[in-house]
Amino acid sequence: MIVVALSLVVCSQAQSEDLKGGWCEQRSTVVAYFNGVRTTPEQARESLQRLRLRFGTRSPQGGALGYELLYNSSAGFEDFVEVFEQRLKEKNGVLAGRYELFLEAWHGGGSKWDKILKAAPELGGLLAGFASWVDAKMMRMMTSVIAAPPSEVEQLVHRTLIDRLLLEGNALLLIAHSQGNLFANAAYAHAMKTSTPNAVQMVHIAPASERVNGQYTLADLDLVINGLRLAGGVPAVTSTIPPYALRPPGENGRKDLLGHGLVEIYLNPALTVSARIDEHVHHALSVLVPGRKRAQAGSFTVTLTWNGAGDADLHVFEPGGRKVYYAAREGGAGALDVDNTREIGPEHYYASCDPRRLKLGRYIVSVANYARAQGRTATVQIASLDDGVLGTKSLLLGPPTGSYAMSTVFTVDVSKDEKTGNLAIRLVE
Amino acid sequence: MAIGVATVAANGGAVWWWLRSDASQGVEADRPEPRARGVNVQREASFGPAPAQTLPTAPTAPAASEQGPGDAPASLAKAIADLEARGELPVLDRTDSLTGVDADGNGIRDDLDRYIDRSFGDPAQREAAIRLTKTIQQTLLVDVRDQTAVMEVARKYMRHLDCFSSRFPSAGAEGPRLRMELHSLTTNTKTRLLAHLQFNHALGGQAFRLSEGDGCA
Repeated sequence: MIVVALSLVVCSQAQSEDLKGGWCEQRSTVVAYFNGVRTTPEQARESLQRLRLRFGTRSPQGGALGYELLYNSSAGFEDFVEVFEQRLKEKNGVLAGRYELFLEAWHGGGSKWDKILKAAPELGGLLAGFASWVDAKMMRMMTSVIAAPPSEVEQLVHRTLIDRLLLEGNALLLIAHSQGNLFANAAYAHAMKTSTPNAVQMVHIAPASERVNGQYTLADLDLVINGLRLAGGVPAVTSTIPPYALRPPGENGRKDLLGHGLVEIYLNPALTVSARIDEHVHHALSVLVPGRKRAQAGSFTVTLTWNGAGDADLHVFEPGGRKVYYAAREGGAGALDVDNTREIGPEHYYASCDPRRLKLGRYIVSVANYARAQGRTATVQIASLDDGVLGTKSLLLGPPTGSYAMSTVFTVDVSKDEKTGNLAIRLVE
Repeated sequence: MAIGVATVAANGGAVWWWLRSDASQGVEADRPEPRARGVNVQREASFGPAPAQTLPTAPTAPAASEQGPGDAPASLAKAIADLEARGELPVLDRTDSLTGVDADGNGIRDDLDRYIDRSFGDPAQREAAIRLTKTIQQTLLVDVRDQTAVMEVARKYMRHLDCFSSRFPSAGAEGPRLRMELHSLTTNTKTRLLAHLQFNHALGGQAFRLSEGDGCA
């Protein structure tokens, strides 16, 4: 009975804090999307927008559903430009210098190319040659990524974000396409160190990995993934799609010769394969149960982790100079609500969502090796409620300094637009 | 007392520098020149009105008399020139600078201003196109070695991408097509294209929250 009463008090405090702020609603489930190979940030963002259109902003349990893009880029973009430049020099350089044709050519064509080829069909070979080279290059890129999966350093931002989302009691749905599956698998393995499949689900789309951690979809005529079978092993085909010439025109046209695009193929409502993915996502969302909430969401938060045993500490100097750390966890504007004295972390500070409590001004974020953490790499991530991750830095911890912070890692500036009344939270040097 | 600090950079690469401890809570960075990654693109310091200059138009193919055996016939060059003359292909600023000629100093190349005026009749769509184009131009200028600066521009960029998409029918092809057109026209020289791709590459390994609203606020 006493336990129940205490729980109610804690819930009530958390809710009132949110309500007082008004603009600080906490989400219960987050969809994290890991993009595929040769995907620009713009395309990845549009894919994430499509996912929200499709799956909405409320989870089946009624909580808020948020969306995050966990972006990975493909290396070697200079090669694409150099080869394109050479192609433009063909046919006596009649198109030389027209780099505005690059992005369309990269995607196999577009309206400008359509006009050019209608007026001068002889230039068709130039576009086709470049498109073929791009496709072949993409296969080589995928093979090399499979051979050398993402390192811990490459996943640092994603991992720390996942740590915080779980710490704040969110459930996670990881949706991955193509080479994004390699990043998502690593993220899932990381999440499983502190969570369970009840709170973290995965949906794989065209996985570039034999290993899957949830339901997956792979089309029979996805020439990219099926072309990787010899190189690294991929799961069995689950779905059929029409041959290229028979694919329905319309929203996505017939631009994806390789049958691999997320929007063009797997989320294309005109293809039955998309219904399978819908089913997987709806199922995953329906079984997710948010984990235990161990930290409070805030107008902004600071998360500290480190890579081994020892006691590293997070110190936040609030405007006015008040220091919030393990020995003074309650600050004027926020609190250190998670402290760790043994290993790995995390430690977590939140700045209040209550505008009457949140202080305008500069917050200095520092780290100390309290004891036994010399040589460890610590990672600090700042995230705001509105914009998500603002910045992530890693640092090598020096000799122990006890209760003294040894360095400024971030300075967070909180200001208010007097005209709109909106808060602006940003990092400053 | 010094500790190493690394900013998590593109593709997870880390740019390391060293911090000097300080008696006060703040510590001043003692930073060597950071390593540049990727291609080295000369970037301008800031936006601002460009000096008046003659706007170079599209490159021209050599005259027929200059062509050698196997070269494209003059009719090919004429076909392309005709497309430009009819306005089917845009006549673009191909000056050497990243931001091009911006006589009115509004942060958008003048030829792109004209394209937006011509192509976006709906005021809400035009407003979103202006915001997005301005931010695409900013991606050309940001120092990719400065992750704080990259992330600051990137967050704005993502919001403006959301805003632009929200002004078109959902799940339609028109929004993405016009978005790509703005990108194509803004990155119409090798220098501009490489600068934008370098910025994109610097976003590898990062995370971006989707705007809760339409991103236009």
